[in-house]
Amino acid sequence: MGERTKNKYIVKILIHSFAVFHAVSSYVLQSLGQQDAILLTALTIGMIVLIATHFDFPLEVTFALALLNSFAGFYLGTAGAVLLQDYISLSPMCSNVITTFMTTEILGWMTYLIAQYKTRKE
Amino acid sequence: MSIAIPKKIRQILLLAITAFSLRMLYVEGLNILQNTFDFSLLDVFSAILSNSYVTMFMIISDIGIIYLLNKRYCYGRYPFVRLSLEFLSLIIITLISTLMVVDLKSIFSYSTVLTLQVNQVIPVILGCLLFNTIVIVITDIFLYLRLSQKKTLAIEIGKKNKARLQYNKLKRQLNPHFLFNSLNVLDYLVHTDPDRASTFIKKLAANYRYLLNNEEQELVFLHNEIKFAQSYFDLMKERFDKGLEMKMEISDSFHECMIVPCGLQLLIENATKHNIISSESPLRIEVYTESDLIVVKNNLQPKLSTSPSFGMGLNNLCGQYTAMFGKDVLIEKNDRFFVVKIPLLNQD
Repeated sequence: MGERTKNKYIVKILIHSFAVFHAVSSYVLQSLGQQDAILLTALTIGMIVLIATHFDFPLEVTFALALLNSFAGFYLGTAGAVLLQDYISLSPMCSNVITTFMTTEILGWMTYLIAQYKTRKE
Repeated sequence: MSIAIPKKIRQILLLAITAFSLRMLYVEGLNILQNTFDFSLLDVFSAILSNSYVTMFMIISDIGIIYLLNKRYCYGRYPFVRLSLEFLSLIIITLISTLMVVDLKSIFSYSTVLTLQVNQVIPVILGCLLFNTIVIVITDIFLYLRLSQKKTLAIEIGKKNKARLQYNKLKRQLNPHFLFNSLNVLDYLVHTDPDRASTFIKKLAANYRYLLNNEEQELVFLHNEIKFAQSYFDLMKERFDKGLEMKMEISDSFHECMIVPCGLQLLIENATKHNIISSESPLRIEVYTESDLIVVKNNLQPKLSTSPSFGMGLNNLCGQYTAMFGKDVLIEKNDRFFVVKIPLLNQD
Protein backbone atom coordinates (compact mmCIF):
# COMPACT_ATOMS: atom_id res chain seq x y z
CA MET A 1 0.00 0.00 0.00
CA GLY A 2 1.47 3.42 -0.97
CA GLU A 3 2.25 6.05 1.65
CA ARG A 4 -0.52 8.33 0.40
CA THR A 5 -3.16 5.59 0.44
CA LYS A 6 -2.05 4.45 3.89
CA ASN A 7 -2.28 8.00 5.23
CA LYS A 8 -5.75 8.48 3.73
CA TYR A 9 -6.91 5.20 5.26
CA ILE A 10 -5.68 6.18 8.73
CA VAL A 11 -7.21 9.66 8.46
CA LYS A 12 -10.50 8.20 7.21
CA ILE A 13 -10.77 5.96 10.28
CA LEU A 14 -9.79 8.84 12.57
CA ILE A 15 -12.29 11.34 11.18
CA HIS A 16 -15.23 8.96 10.95
CA SER A 17 -14.56 7.59 14.46
CA PHE A 18 -14.41 11.06 15.95
CA ALA A 19 -17.51 12.15 14.04
CA VAL A 20 -19.47 9.20 15.43
CA PHE A 21 -18.06 9.81 18.90
CA HIS A 22 -19.05 13.49 18.67
CA ALA A 23 -22.59 12.59 17.66
CA VAL A 24 -22.97 9.93 20.36
CA SER A 25 -21.55 12.25 23.05
CA SER A 26 -23.88 15.05 21.99
CA TYR A 27 -26.89 12.69 22.14
CA VAL A 28 -25.98 11.20 25.50
CA LEU A 29 -25.22 14.52 27.19
CA GLN A 30 -28.33 16.19 25.85
CA SER A 31 -30.40 13.23 27.00
CA LEU A 32 -28.96 13.75 30.48
CA GLY A 33 -29.71 17.47 30.27
CA GLN A 34 -26.03 18.38 30.35
CA GLN A 35 -24.00 20.88 28.30
CA ASP A 36 -22.02 19.19 25.54
CA ALA A 37 -19.68 22.11 24.65
CA ILE A 38 -16.76 21.01 26.84
CA LEU A 39 -16.59 17.41 25.66
CA LEU A 40 -17.20 18.28 22.00
CA THR A 41 -14.49 20.96 22.05
CA ALA A 42 -12.04 18.51 23.64
CA LEU A 43 -12.88 15.86 21.02
CA THR A 44 -12.48 18.34 18.13
CA ILE A 45 -9.10 19.50 19.41
CA GLY A 46 -8.07 15.88 19.99
CA MET A 47 -8.95 14.92 16.40
CA ILE A 48 -7.11 17.89 14.89
CA VAL A 49 -4.03 17.33 17.06
CA LEU A 50 -3.92 13.64 16.05
CA ILE A 51 -4.20 14.47 12.33
CA ALA A 52 -1.60 17.27 12.58
CA THR A 53 0.81 15.07 14.52
CA HIS A 54 0.38 12.22 12.02
CA PHE A 55 1.45 14.58 9.22
CA ASP A 56 4.39 15.99 11.25
CA PHE A 57 3.15 19.52 11.52
CA PRO A 58 5.29 21.63 13.90
CA LEU A 59 3.83 22.53 17.29
CA GLU A 60 2.97 26.10 16.36
CA VAL A 61 0.93 25.03 13.34
CA THR A 62 -0.75 22.22 15.33
CA PHE A 63 -1.79 24.80 17.93
CA ALA A 64 -3.04 27.16 15.21
CA LEU A 65 -5.08 24.40 13.57
CA ALA A 66 -6.51 23.25 16.91
CA LEU A 67 -7.52 26.79 17.90
CA LEU A 68 -9.00 27.65 14.51
CA ASN A 69 -10.95 24.41 14.28
CA SER A 70 -12.28 24.66 17.84
CA PHE A 71 -13.74 28.09 17.09
CA ALA A 72 -14.93 27.05 13.63
CA GLY A 73 -16.51 23.93 15.10
CA PHE A 74 -18.42 25.90 17.71
CA TYR A 75 -19.79 28.50 15.31
CA LEU A 76 -20.47 26.04 12.48
CA GLY A 77 -22.17 23.65 14.86
CA THR A 78 -24.31 26.32 16.47
CA ALA A 79 -25.31 27.97 13.19
CA GLY A 80 -25.90 24.60 11.52
CA ALA A 81 -28.18 23.42 14.31
CA VAL A 82 -30.23 26.61 14.11
CA LEU A 83 -30.56 26.23 10.31
CA LEU A 84 -31.68 22.62 10.59
CA GLN A 85 -34.25 23.49 13.23
CA ASP A 86 -35.62 26.40 11.19
CA TYR A 87 -35.65 24.90 7.70
CA ILE A 88 -36.13 21.17 8.21
CA SER A 89 -38.07 21.44 11.48
CA LEU A 90 -35.98 18.94 13.36
CA SER A 91 -35.95 18.70 17.11
CA PRO A 92 -33.10 20.54 18.86
CA MET A 93 -31.52 17.25 19.95
CA CYS A 94 -31.67 15.75 16.46
CA SER A 95 -30.32 18.86 14.77
CA ASN A 96 -27.47 19.12 17.29
CA VAL A 97 -26.45 15.50 16.74
CA ILE A 98 -26.56 15.78 12.94
CA THR A 99 -24.73 19.12 12.89
CA THR A 100 -22.09 17.83 15.29
CA PHE A 101 -21.43 14.84 13.07
CA MET A 102 -21.25 16.91 9.87
CA THR A 103 -19.13 19.65 11.40
CA THR A 104 -16.60 17.10 12.65
CA GLU A 105 -16.40 15.53 9.20
CA ILE A 106 -15.93 18.94 7.53
CA LEU A 107 -13.24 20.07 9.97
CA GLY A 108 -11.43 16.74 9.77
CA TRP A 109 -11.35 16.64 5.99
CA MET A 110 -10.35 20.32 5.73
CA THR A 111 -7.39 19.60 8.00
CA TYR A 112 -6.53 16.56 5.89
CA LEU A 113 -6.62 18.73 2.73
CA ILE A 114 -4.23 21.19 4.35
CA ALA A 115 -1.92 18.29 5.23
CA GLN A 116 -2.15 16.97 1.67
CA TYR A 117 -1.22 20.38 0.29
CA LYS A 118 1.84 20.32 2.54
CA THR A 119 2.99 16.87 1.46
CA ARG A 120 2.25 17.33 -2.22
CA LYS A 121 5.41 17.51 -4.28
CA GLU A 122 5.84 20.30 -6.81
CA MET B 1 5.30 4.80 40.15
CA SER B 2 5.90 7.59 37.63
CA ILE B 3 5.34 7.19 33.93
CA ALA B 4 7.83 8.99 31.70
CA ILE B 5 5.96 10.89 29.00
CA PRO B 6 8.10 11.84 26.01
CA LYS B 7 8.83 15.54 25.69
CA LYS B 8 7.00 15.98 22.37
CA ILE B 9 3.81 14.43 23.74
CA ARG B 10 4.01 16.65 26.82
CA GLN B 11 4.38 19.70 24.60
CA ILE B 12 1.46 18.64 22.38
CA LEU B 13 -0.72 17.99 25.44
CA LEU B 14 0.16 21.38 26.89
CA LEU B 15 -0.71 23.16 23.65
CA ALA B 16 -3.95 21.18 23.24
CA ILE B 17 -4.99 22.13 26.79
CA THR B 18 -4.06 25.78 26.11
CA ALA B 19 -6.12 25.82 22.90
CA PHE B 20 -9.03 24.22 24.76
CA SER B 21 -8.80 26.73 27.63
CA LEU B 22 -8.62 29.73 25.33
CA ARG B 23 -11.60 28.53 23.33
CA MET B 24 -13.72 27.84 26.44
CA LEU B 25 -12.64 31.11 28.07
CA TYR B 26 -13.50 33.19 25.05
CA VAL B 27 -16.83 31.62 24.12
CA GLU B 28 -18.17 31.19 27.64
CA GLY B 29 -16.84 34.61 28.64
CA LEU B 30 -18.46 36.08 25.55
CA ASN B 31 -21.84 34.56 26.47
CA ILE B 32 -21.67 36.01 29.97
CA LEU B 33 -20.56 39.44 28.76
CA GLN B 34 -23.20 39.50 25.99
CA ASN B 35 -25.85 38.93 28.62
CA THR B 36 -24.34 41.49 31.00
CA PHE B 37 -23.73 44.29 28.51
CA ASP B 38 -26.45 43.41 26.02
CA PHE B 39 -24.59 43.40 22.70
CA SER B 40 -24.36 41.15 19.68
CA LEU B 41 -20.93 40.00 18.49
CA LEU B 42 -22.12 40.10 14.90
CA ASP B 43 -23.06 43.80 15.20
CA VAL B 44 -19.72 44.56 16.84
CA PHE B 45 -17.91 42.72 14.02
CA SER B 46 -19.81 44.69 11.38
CA ALA B 47 -18.97 47.94 13.13
CA ILE B 48 -15.27 47.10 13.34
CA LEU B 49 -14.97 45.81 9.78
CA SER B 50 -16.88 48.76 8.36
CA ASN B 51 -13.96 50.89 9.51
CA SER B 52 -11.56 50.13 6.66
CA TYR B 53 -8.56 51.81 8.31
CA VAL B 54 -8.85 49.64 11.39
CA THR B 55 -9.41 46.52 9.32
CA MET B 56 -6.37 47.23 7.13
CA PHE B 57 -4.27 48.02 10.19
CA MET B 58 -5.25 44.75 11.87
CA ILE B 59 -4.64 42.62 8.78
CA ILE B 60 -1.30 44.23 7.92
CA SER B 61 -0.09 44.10 11.54
CA ASP B 62 -1.11 40.48 12.00
CA ILE B 63 0.50 39.33 8.75
CA GLY B 64 3.58 41.46 9.39
CA ILE B 65 4.07 40.06 12.88
CA ILE B 66 3.94 36.46 11.62
CA TYR B 67 6.47 37.14 8.84
CA LEU B 68 8.77 38.98 11.25
CA LEU B 69 8.57 36.22 13.86
CA ASN B 70 9.30 33.63 11.21
CA LYS B 71 12.57 35.35 10.31
CA ARG B 72 13.77 34.99 13.89
CA TYR B 73 12.04 31.78 15.04
CA CYS B 74 11.43 29.37 12.21
CA TYR B 75 8.77 26.68 12.62
CA GLY B 76 9.55 23.91 15.04
CA ARG B 77 12.64 25.53 16.54
CA TYR B 78 11.37 27.46 19.58
CA PRO B 79 7.60 26.84 19.49
CA PHE B 80 6.76 28.18 22.95
CA VAL B 81 8.82 31.34 22.52
CA ARG B 82 7.20 31.96 19.15
CA LEU B 83 3.67 31.30 20.45
CA SER B 84 4.24 33.55 23.49
CA LEU B 85 5.41 36.37 21.24
CA GLU B 86 2.44 35.81 18.92
CA PHE B 87 0.10 36.01 21.92
CA LEU B 88 1.75 39.20 23.18
CA SER B 89 1.53 40.75 19.70
CA LEU B 90 -2.12 39.73 19.51
CA ILE B 91 -2.88 41.58 22.76
CA ILE B 92 -1.01 44.71 21.67
CA ILE B 93 -2.64 44.81 18.21
CA THR B 94 -6.06 44.21 19.79
CA LEU B 95 -5.59 47.09 22.23
CA ILE B 96 -4.40 49.46 19.50
CA SER B 97 -7.30 48.48 17.21
CA THR B 98 -9.74 49.00 20.09
CA LEU B 99 -8.37 52.48 20.67
CA MET B 100 -8.74 53.20 16.96
CA VAL B 101 -12.38 52.02 16.94
CA VAL B 102 -13.67 53.47 20.17
CA ASP B 103 -14.28 57.17 20.46
CA LEU B 104 -11.97 58.00 23.35
CA LYS B 105 -13.97 61.03 24.48
CA SER B 106 -17.19 59.08 24.84
CA ILE B 107 -15.73 56.18 26.80
CA PHE B 108 -14.95 58.35 29.78
CA SER B 109 -17.85 59.88 31.61
CA TYR B 110 -17.14 63.21 33.20
CA SER B 111 -18.60 62.83 36.62
CA THR B 112 -17.02 63.29 40.00
CA VAL B 113 -15.00 60.18 39.39
CA LEU B 114 -13.55 59.41 35.99
CA THR B 115 -14.99 56.05 35.03
CA LEU B 116 -14.39 53.93 31.99
CA GLN B 117 -17.49 53.06 29.96
CA VAL B 118 -16.74 49.33 29.84
CA ASN B 119 -19.98 48.53 28.03
CA GLN B 120 -18.50 50.25 24.98
CA VAL B 121 -14.96 48.97 25.25
CA ILE B 122 -15.48 45.29 26.14
CA PRO B 123 -17.46 44.32 23.00
CA VAL B 124 -14.89 46.03 20.76
CA ILE B 125 -12.01 44.29 22.53
CA LEU B 126 -13.72 40.92 22.10
CA GLY B 127 -14.49 41.58 18.45
CA CYS B 128 -10.93 42.74 17.67
CA LEU B 129 -9.47 39.83 19.65
CA LEU B 130 -11.43 37.25 17.67
CA PHE B 131 -10.69 38.89 14.32
CA ASN B 132 -6.96 39.20 15.02
CA THR B 133 -6.77 35.62 16.32
CA ILE B 134 -8.35 34.31 13.12
CA VAL B 135 -6.04 36.36 10.88
CA ILE B 136 -2.90 35.40 12.83
CA VAL B 137 -3.79 31.72 12.88
CA ILE B 138 -4.65 31.60 9.16
CA THR B 139 -1.47 33.51 8.26
CA ASP B 140 0.60 31.10 10.36
CA ILE B 141 -0.86 28.07 8.58
CA PHE B 142 -0.56 29.68 5.14
CA LEU B 143 3.07 30.76 5.68
CA TYR B 144 4.02 27.32 6.93
CA LEU B 145 2.49 25.67 3.85
CA ARG B 146 4.31 28.08 1.56
CA LEU B 147 7.65 27.45 3.28
CA SER B 148 7.06 23.67 3.16
CA GLN B 149 6.47 23.89 -0.58
CA LYS B 150 9.66 25.92 -1.03
CA LYS B 151 11.61 23.43 1.10
CA THR B 152 10.22 20.48 -0.89
CA LEU B 153 11.15 22.22 -4.12
CA ALA B 154 14.66 22.99 -2.85
CA ILE B 155 15.13 19.36 -1.83
CA GLU B 156 13.94 18.17 -5.26
CA ILE B 157 16.29 20.62 -7.00
CA GLY B 158 19.07 19.46 -4.70
CA LYS B 159 18.32 15.82 -5.58
CA LYS B 160 18.29 16.71 -9.27
CA ASN B 161 21.61 18.53 -8.96
CA LYS B 162 23.03 15.67 -6.93
CA ALA B 163 21.87 13.16 -9.55
CA ARG B 164 23.41 15.30 -12.27
CA LEU B 165 26.65 15.62 -10.29
CA GLN B 166 26.73 11.88 -9.68
CA TYR B 167 26.10 11.24 -13.35
CA ASN B 168 28.96 13.57 -14.26
CA LYS B 169 31.14 11.91 -11.60
CA LEU B 170 30.33 8.52 -13.11
CA LYS B 171 31.11 9.91 -16.53
CA ARG B 172 34.42 11.18 -15.19
CA GLN B 173 35.11 7.80 -13.63
CA LEU B 174 34.85 6.28 -17.05
CA ASN B 175 36.15 9.48 -18.63
CA PRO B 176 37.95 8.17 -21.71
CA HIS B 177 40.15 11.27 -21.97
CA PHE B 178 41.40 10.97 -18.43
CA LEU B 179 41.96 7.21 -18.77
CA PHE B 180 43.52 7.63 -22.23
CA ASN B 181 45.94 10.29 -21.01
CA SER B 182 46.76 8.29 -17.87
CA LEU B 183 47.47 5.14 -19.92
CA ASN B 184 49.69 7.14 -22.29
CA VAL B 185 51.70 8.44 -19.33
CA LEU B 186 51.79 4.92 -17.90
CA ASP B 187 53.03 3.54 -21.21
CA TYR B 188 55.92 6.02 -21.12
CA LEU B 189 56.72 5.33 -17.44
CA VAL B 190 56.66 1.54 -17.81
CA HIS B 191 59.61 1.74 -20.23
CA THR B 192 61.52 4.57 -18.56
CA ASP B 193 60.93 4.23 -14.85
CA PRO B 194 59.11 1.10 -13.64
CA ASP B 195 59.11 2.24 -10.00
CA ARG B 196 57.37 5.47 -10.93
CA ALA B 197 55.02 3.45 -13.13
CA SER B 198 54.11 1.27 -10.15
CA THR B 199 53.45 4.36 -7.98
CA PHE B 200 51.38 5.85 -10.80
CA ILE B 201 49.22 2.71 -11.06
CA LYS B 202 48.65 2.67 -7.30
CA LYS B 203 47.58 6.33 -7.31
CA LEU B 204 45.30 5.75 -10.29
CA ALA B 205 43.71 2.78 -8.51
CA ALA B 206 43.36 4.82 -5.29
CA ASN B 207 41.60 7.57 -7.24
CA TYR B 208 39.04 5.16 -8.67
CA ARG B 209 38.61 3.51 -5.26
CA TYR B 210 37.84 6.90 -3.69
CA LEU B 211 35.32 7.67 -6.46
CA LEU B 212 33.58 4.32 -5.96
CA ASN B 213 33.58 4.52 -2.14
CA ASN B 214 32.07 8.01 -2.09
CA GLU B 215 29.56 7.63 -4.89
CA GLU B 216 26.57 7.84 -2.53
CA GLN B 217 28.02 10.26 0.05
CA GLU B 218 26.67 13.79 0.28
CA LEU B 219 29.70 14.99 2.26
CA VAL B 220 33.18 13.71 3.09
CA PHE B 221 35.84 14.82 5.57
CA LEU B 222 38.17 17.48 4.20
CA HIS B 223 41.31 15.48 5.06
CA ASN B 224 40.09 12.62 2.82
CA GLU B 225 39.24 15.02 0.00
CA ILE B 226 42.66 16.65 0.32
CA LYS B 227 44.39 13.24 -0.02
CA PHE B 228 42.28 12.48 -3.10
CA ALA B 229 42.92 15.90 -4.66
CA GLN B 230 46.66 15.54 -3.99
CA SER B 231 46.67 12.06 -5.52
CA TYR B 232 44.79 13.33 -8.59
CA PHE B 233 47.22 16.23 -8.90
CA ASP B 234 50.18 13.81 -8.71
CA LEU B 235 48.75 11.91 -11.71
CA MET B 236 48.35 15.18 -13.64
CA LYS B 237 51.86 16.20 -12.60
CA GLU B 238 53.27 13.05 -14.21
CA ARG B 239 51.72 14.23 -17.44
CA PHE B 240 52.47 17.95 -17.29
CA ASP B 241 55.63 17.90 -15.16
CA LYS B 242 56.95 21.46 -14.67
CA GLY B 243 53.95 22.98 -16.47
CA LEU B 244 51.73 22.32 -13.45
CA GLU B 245 52.32 23.45 -9.89
CA MET B 246 50.13 23.25 -6.82
CA LYS B 247 50.51 24.66 -3.34
CA MET B 248 48.18 23.41 -0.59
CA GLU B 249 48.07 25.30 2.71
CA ILE B 250 45.31 23.95 4.89
CA SER B 251 45.62 23.98 8.65
CA ASP B 252 44.95 20.70 10.51
CA SER B 253 42.13 22.42 12.40
CA PHE B 254 40.01 22.30 9.23
CA HIS B 255 40.57 18.62 8.51
CA GLU B 256 37.41 17.49 10.31
CA CYS B 257 35.22 19.88 8.30
CA MET B 258 33.02 18.44 5.57
CA ILE B 259 32.99 19.06 1.84
CA VAL B 260 31.11 17.66 -1.17
CA PRO B 261 33.12 14.67 -2.51
CA CYS B 262 35.29 15.42 -5.54
CA GLY B 263 34.64 19.17 -5.08
CA LEU B 264 38.37 20.00 -4.85
CA GLN B 265 39.29 17.53 -7.59
CA LEU B 266 36.68 19.07 -9.90
CA LEU B 267 38.21 22.52 -9.49
CA ILE B 268 41.74 21.22 -10.15
CA GLU B 269 40.46 19.33 -13.19
CA ASN B 270 38.67 22.46 -14.45
CA ALA B 271 41.84 24.50 -14.05
CA THR B 272 43.85 22.02 -16.16
CA LYS B 273 41.04 21.65 -18.73
CA HIS B 274 40.55 25.34 -19.47
CA ASN B 275 44.04 26.77 -19.15
CA ILE B 276 47.26 26.53 -21.14
CA ILE B 277 49.85 24.39 -19.34
CA SER B 278 53.49 24.59 -20.37
CA SER B 279 56.87 24.71 -18.66
CA GLU B 280 57.42 28.23 -20.08
CA SER B 281 54.10 29.36 -18.63
CA PRO B 282 53.19 27.02 -15.78
CA LEU B 283 49.67 26.76 -14.37
CA ARG B 284 49.86 27.52 -10.66
CA ILE B 285 47.07 26.28 -8.43
CA GLU B 286 46.79 27.41 -4.84
CA VAL B 287 44.52 25.74 -2.31
CA TYR B 288 44.06 27.41 1.06
CA THR B 289 41.45 28.27 3.64
CA GLU B 290 39.81 31.63 4.30
CA SER B 291 37.57 31.78 7.42
CA ASP B 292 35.01 28.99 6.73
CA LEU B 293 35.78 28.65 3.03
CA ILE B 294 38.25 26.57 1.08
CA VAL B 295 39.74 28.55 -1.81
CA VAL B 296 41.08 27.17 -5.09
CA LYS B 297 42.89 29.84 -7.05
CA ASN B 298 44.72 29.51 -10.37
CA ASN B 299 46.38 31.97 -12.69
CA LEU B 300 44.32 32.58 -15.78
CA GLN B 301 45.82 31.58 -19.13
CA PRO B 302 42.77 30.37 -21.03
CA LYS B 303 42.95 27.96 -23.95
CA LEU B 304 41.65 29.33 -27.22
CA SER B 305 39.16 26.50 -27.67
CA THR B 306 36.89 25.48 -24.79
CA SER B 307 35.11 22.17 -24.34
CA PRO B 308 31.33 22.17 -24.91
CA SER B 309 30.67 21.18 -21.28
CA PHE B 310 32.30 24.37 -20.01
CA GLY B 311 30.97 25.31 -16.60
CA MET B 312 28.62 22.33 -16.20
CA GLY B 313 30.49 20.61 -13.37
CA LEU B 314 31.00 23.90 -11.54
CA ASN B 315 27.34 24.87 -12.04
CA ASN B 316 26.22 21.53 -10.63
CA LEU B 317 28.51 21.96 -7.63
CA CYS B 318 27.09 25.45 -6.98
CA GLY B 319 23.54 24.14 -7.37
CA GLN B 320 24.17 21.32 -4.92
CA TYR B 321 25.54 23.62 -2.22
CA THR B 322 22.69 26.09 -2.64
CA ALA B 323 19.83 23.61 -2.78
CA MET B 324 21.02 21.09 -0.19
CA PHE B 325 22.93 23.22 2.31
CA GLY B 326 21.68 26.76 1.64
CA LYS B 327 25.22 28.00 1.07
CA ASP B 328 26.76 29.72 -1.94
CA VAL B 329 29.90 28.79 -3.83
CA LEU B 330 31.70 32.05 -4.60
CA ILE B 331 33.39 32.55 -7.98
CA GLU B 332 35.72 35.47 -8.65
CA LYS B 333 37.40 36.11 -11.97
CA ASN B 334 39.67 38.88 -13.12
CA ASP B 335 42.36 39.28 -15.83
CA ARG B 336 44.92 37.37 -13.83
CA PHE B 337 43.20 34.86 -11.59
CA PHE B 338 40.24 32.53 -11.38
CA VAL B 339 39.12 31.91 -7.80
CA VAL B 340 36.49 29.54 -6.45
CA LYS B 341 35.53 29.51 -2.75
CA ILE B 342 33.64 26.50 -1.42
CA PRO B 343 31.95 26.61 2.00
CA LEU B 344 33.25 24.20 4.61
CA LEU B 345 30.51 22.50 6.60
CA ASN B 346 30.47 21.20 10.16
CA GLN B 347 29.77 17.58 10.92
CA ASP B 348 26.27 18.35 12.25
